Amino acid sequence: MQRSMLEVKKLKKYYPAKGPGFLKARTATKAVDGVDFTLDCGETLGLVGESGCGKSTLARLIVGLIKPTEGDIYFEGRSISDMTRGDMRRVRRDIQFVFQDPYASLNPRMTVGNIVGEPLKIHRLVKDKYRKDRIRELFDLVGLEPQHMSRYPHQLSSGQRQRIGIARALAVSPRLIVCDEPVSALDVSVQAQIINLLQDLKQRLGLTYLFIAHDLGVIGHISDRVAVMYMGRIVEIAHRDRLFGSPAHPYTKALLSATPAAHPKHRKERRIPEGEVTGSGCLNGGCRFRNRCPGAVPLCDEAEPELFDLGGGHLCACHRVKGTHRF
Amino acid sequence: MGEIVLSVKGLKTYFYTKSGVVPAVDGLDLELERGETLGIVGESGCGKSTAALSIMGLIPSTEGRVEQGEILFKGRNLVTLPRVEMRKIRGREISMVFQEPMTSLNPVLTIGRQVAEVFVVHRGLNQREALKETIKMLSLVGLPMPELRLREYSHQLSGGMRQRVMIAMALACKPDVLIADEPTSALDVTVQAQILQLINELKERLGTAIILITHDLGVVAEAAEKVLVMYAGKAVEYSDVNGIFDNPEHPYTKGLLASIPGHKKHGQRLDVMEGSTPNPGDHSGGCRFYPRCRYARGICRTSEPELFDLGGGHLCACHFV
Ligand SMILES: Nc1ncnc2c1ncn2[C@@H]1O[C@H](COP(=O)(O)OP(=O)(O)O)[C@@H](O)[C@H]1O
Ligand SMILES: [Mg+2]
Repeated sequence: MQRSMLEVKKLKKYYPAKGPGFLKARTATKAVDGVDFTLDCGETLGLVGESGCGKSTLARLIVGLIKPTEGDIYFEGRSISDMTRGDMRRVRRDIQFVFQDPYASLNPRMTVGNIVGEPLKIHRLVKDKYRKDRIRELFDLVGLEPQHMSRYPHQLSSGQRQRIGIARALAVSPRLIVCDEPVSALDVSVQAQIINLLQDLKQRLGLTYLFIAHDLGVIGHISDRVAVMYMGRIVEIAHRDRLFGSPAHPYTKALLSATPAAHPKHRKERRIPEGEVTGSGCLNGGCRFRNRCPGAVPLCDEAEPELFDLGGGHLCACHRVKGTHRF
Repeated sequence: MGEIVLSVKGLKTYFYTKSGVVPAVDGLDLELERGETLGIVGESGCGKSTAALSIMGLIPSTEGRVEQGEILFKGRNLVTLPRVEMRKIRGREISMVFQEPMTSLNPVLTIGRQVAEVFVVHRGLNQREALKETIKMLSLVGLPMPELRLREYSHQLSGGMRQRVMIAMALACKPDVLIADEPTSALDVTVQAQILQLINELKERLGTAIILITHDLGVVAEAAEKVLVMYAGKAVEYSDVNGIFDNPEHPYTKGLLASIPGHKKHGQRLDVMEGSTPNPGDHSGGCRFYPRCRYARGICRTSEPELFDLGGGHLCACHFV
């Protein structure tokens, strides 16, 4: 049995809408709207979904950049909201964040050496005289040369900047890294370098990843399990091979079908769902995917489907899948 | 072989910046046959957009210009064409769709006005006829309830719908050539699939030749018949699409293909090219890919390889192929 490192229960984050007060409750943006999952020690959970489905909000909730409207986050079995300040500070170190756009997240006026060294200073993790050695070590770990330490972010390539973002996250020796689209802004050749680096680091340092991307190729490459998110909810979660081999949820099927072929010979007759994601909040009650779903039935209008287990930890939130499933 | 509608020969487009000359396109050759889709693929900064804007005659004269080469279209060289003549061709015989439809649509004009304008300007229709054509065109590109959309503004549409409107405007005059520069890169994957399907259908229907510019080999695999791989302002390989995926010859093309992650490669290390894409002009004489190439030898540093026909129209620019 693997121990779970992170557990998220009924997590919600609503953003109040601007506008007249009496409409607010109804038009609030439900960025994350009831998310449950667990993350085991040492695994990589991929989180995939289209833009605006709540991936980044979920990431920011987990690393503590924003507070949930409802729900709980447990780290190693303990609810983060019940922790003492000291414990909380330790957890904040244990969970680190790697951003999509390293450029926007790096202070342009600091040398990249100081950027990587800053968390060491804030958390007083090493004596001042050893700080430089530790920074050098971190640079080495992410494949940068010591002479890069005195450069500024704009003097580095985008791949090198992402390495800095990773080194900064590693500085405090975290156990869980939440990677929010860490390779999405990179060219494929550089993306491949960073994917390899993240995999090497995971092995060497025994890390656990929550890895967010919109690209199913990247997700399938790096994840042990995959969660598919749609309009603030997880609609399916399964081991990678199950998810790619026998997806259950109609949205997952649509995503897989819409992903371009890897080879021109595999161009396929697609079943692409029509329409696009509509703003959340306008579909009160019922399944969020129903207006794009080829197989929607009346029940889908009435009740929101909950995740249920198809067996072997393959969870899916769809009335029709549940209805036809043999237990 | 089909009729060539567009051919680019030795194109060089340079920008002049405070920090020096930027040879964004630096000797590009390509040919486009009537009714085919040519995918141009390469990583960011390799000159794809600059090539497209050069063909459109849209390089801002304050920033740069076509230095050398020919762009031949229906017997005329677009490079030397007077501006008024070029304006007649642009949008009517060659048109373009950009990555970000939000910035290319006018936010203060209704969708109807903008699309109708194309018919008025290029086809000389009056307002009423133009409006009728506009509705036809909008329904052709799959905009639901086009009559209602006429009075909407671009910010009221989703990203996919905006891109459909852009395509409607670009195809309004049934151009011979459509240049689509990363038309789906800003879109979600389900919407991307819809748009690629739409482009394919319209091509069949209208016989338009398409230059589909993308950084994504998946998009190429999905929608192109021929492929041109660009690196540092030049073509390094050209072939029909199966040739690129089955028998890639140039080390850069091979590297690109090997870099693509996927579920089937789970757990494996990706076979990566070291280094990153160079800035334009960051090379001296030899092969532009030389610093990143695992097969490089002495000659690659000193002499620049030219495109060479390997047979069957599969071209490659490498000393060792
Ligand atoms: N207006 C401009 N002024 C100066 N440099 C430019 C300009 N437009 C593009 N470039 C440079 O030309 C090179 C090629 O750019 P571009 O054609 O946009 O490539 P791609 O579309 O393949 O990403 C890049 O290095 C880019 O920075
Ligand atoms: Mg471009």
